[in-house]
Amino acid sequence: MDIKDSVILITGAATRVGRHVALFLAKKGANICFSYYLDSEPWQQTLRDIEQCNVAAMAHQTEIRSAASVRELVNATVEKFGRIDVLINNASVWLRAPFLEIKEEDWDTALDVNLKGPFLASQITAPYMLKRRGGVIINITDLSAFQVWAGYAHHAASKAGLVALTKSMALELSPHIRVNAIAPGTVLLPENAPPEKKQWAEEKSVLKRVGTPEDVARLVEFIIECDFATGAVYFVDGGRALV
Amino acid sequence: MEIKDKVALVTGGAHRVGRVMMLALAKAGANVVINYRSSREEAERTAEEARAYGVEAMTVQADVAHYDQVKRMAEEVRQKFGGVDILINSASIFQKTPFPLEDVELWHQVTAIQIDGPFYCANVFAPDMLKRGEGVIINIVDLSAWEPWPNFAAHSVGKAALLALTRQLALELAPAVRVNAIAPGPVLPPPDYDDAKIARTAKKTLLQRWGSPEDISHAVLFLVESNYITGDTIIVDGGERFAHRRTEEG
Repeated sequence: MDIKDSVILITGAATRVGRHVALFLAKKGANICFSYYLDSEPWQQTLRDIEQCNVAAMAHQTEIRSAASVRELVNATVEKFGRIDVLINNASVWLRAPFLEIKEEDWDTALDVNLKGPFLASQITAPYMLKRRGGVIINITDLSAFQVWAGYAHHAASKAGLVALTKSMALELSPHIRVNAIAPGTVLLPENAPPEKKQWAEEKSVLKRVGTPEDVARLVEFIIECDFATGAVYFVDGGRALV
Repeated sequence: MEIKDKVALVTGGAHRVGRVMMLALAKAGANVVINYRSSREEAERTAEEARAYGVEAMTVQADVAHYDQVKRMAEEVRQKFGGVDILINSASIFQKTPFPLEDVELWHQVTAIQIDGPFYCANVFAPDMLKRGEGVIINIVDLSAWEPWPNFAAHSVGKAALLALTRQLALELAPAVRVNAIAPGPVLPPPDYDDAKIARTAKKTLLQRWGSPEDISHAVLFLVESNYITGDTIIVDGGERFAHRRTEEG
């Protein structure tokens, strides 16, 4: 699928990697709708930055855990752009707690945002894609779906579920919709991360460095453009999955 | 890694998908080395096509299953280009080895090309990459690395081993050299496929169609340029590995 002039809906893209991916795709000529969660997120800045790429853009405040809110997001996108060519399920939370201390509400938050959100967004968007007999869905999972990390049982369960959802959707939405997942390693440290965190992340990668959000964006670009890719999980992790 | 002005060697690069990968690298500005075993005329023709993109191209004969030939190839390439930056292990044969196998030599022929060849090539070309501090190796596997194919034991074992070699090399040659695999699905019908078989094969993918060799060359260019991907396998199969589940429960 050509990125230029396509319509791309990306969830959770006011900040961080989602924002980078949205801007990367806008620079390639895609029209972008992105969702954000909190008013306090710098969504207006991201919207302005996308608009400066001379593409159409919109932002929508969305509670990704709510079918009604996701339906509003999808409907608003279709109303403005007439269609959705690509859906990128990027919105995510990153919760940490030892297994014995995970509270029920934290378990629910991890599963609802990281797994139910992509399910809702895909289920509500897919009929529009099927009507046009074409579409691409990309789910952003991470290495915790494949590796054991202490303190992330709920997070890992949600991301592993997203991998299973990816394959199920690839099966059931074929042949018209291609569905793939991306598992990034460390590509953007938290703003307040101490230097030892960067060093730790560098050591974890066999390439001995952290990646960049652009590494993820380029993989998104590849998946959109490669018309024979479906049902796959692609790693962009500097080889971290190897060790 | 930027492709322009680099040197790329594609084993089995004279025809079929190897040729398309090689020409894509040439089009992107790489000087190319076309390895062939017996297809000299096709290799020369492919080299001419590559030169049309304004790059240098050389052909070199070597059976990658034989280390002495691979070492000779490396010497010839070194004299012309000083080494390679990009190595694509694409040479392969598609040989049935049904059990029980009367001629066990067939087993060795297949595994020598699928396993020994990529190992030999990495062994002779990686040192130069390490010296320069940069390099990319891509191994071409297929779905038989994960799923058994009736009558293709040697082939399947060979591709599974090549996948293991990919991960092993990614670990041991890091951080300077990135090593990945590509697993294509049906992208180019073999010459002996009739229309009925071509149609049946398309039905075996989720996308209900064949891909194209360009899908694979696209993945090659992507992997060469993607500096944070190593040890991974890019599957480009149209969902072939899930298609049999469409009408079954589990």
